Amino acid sequence: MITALANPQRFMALSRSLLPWLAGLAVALFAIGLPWSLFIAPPDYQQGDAARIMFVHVPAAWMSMAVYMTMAAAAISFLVWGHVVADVAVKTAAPLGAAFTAIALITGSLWGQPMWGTWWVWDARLTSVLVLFFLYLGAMALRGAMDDETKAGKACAILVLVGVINIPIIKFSVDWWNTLHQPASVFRAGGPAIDPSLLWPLLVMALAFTIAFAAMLVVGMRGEILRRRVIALEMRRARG
Amino acid sequence: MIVLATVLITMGKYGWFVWPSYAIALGVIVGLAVSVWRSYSNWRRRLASLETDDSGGPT
Repeated sequence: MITALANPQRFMALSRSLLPWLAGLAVALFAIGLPWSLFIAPPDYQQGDAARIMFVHVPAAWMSMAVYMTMAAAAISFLVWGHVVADVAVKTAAPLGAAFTAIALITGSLWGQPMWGTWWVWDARLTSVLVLFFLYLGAMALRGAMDDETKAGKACAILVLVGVINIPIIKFSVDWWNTLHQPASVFRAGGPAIDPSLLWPLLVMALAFTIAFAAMLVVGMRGEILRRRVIALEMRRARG
Repeated sequence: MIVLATVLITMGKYGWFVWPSYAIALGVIVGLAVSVWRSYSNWRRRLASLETDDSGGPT
């Protein structure tokens, strides 16, 4: 499967048929998840209606880590097997991951003000997510700083793999240190601690974010593959 | 109108912090989707124009 997708032509053919389904599914999931989380889900018994921020904050935070792990897997594929499509995936996913991390940071700040009485604290969870945001920006800047596509891809892949150390730090920061941020309430030993009336809309929104990311990644990768073809054609033409 | 009504209802019911969170999250996602689609369309057009030129078609 991975070897088949590593061929740009096969990727273009497969993604062309996959894209309408991904886009349609993302729109449908948002159409269900948004009214459910805004109007149908009950208020939290402690935090009241401010807890509704959870339905966009938590999926964005999950995506910020999931996108980074996707980039890391693609970076390994590029460094070990030289799959060009994997390099295209790393390049395309970086701004998407940065955007999800920014959403998580901003909505977390908007949730922190009414609950904690502050927009920001330098605790382990918030700081490690901010580091993740800078890792995304660093990967994008490193890529943009080099003209040679292959060298830029390798440097970027190495940076992404070094930054993977931050992912378990984010995940377990709430267990390893005393933080204002609450501990895990969905993915934890002993099952979710969150009531099903709040858990289901959260999972629908998380799926909507995931499918939306997949659709945007596919479109972005198709665009990047076309960009490289255009540059190759223009160079060939310039050489005569 | 639907967006404005949603903002007014959520602001009245839930206060000042819920609707900006949704607006920012959805705004960023929709903005990203439009941006990647426009970039893709642009490169598709440029490639089509280059391939037309290569095949001896109209320039």
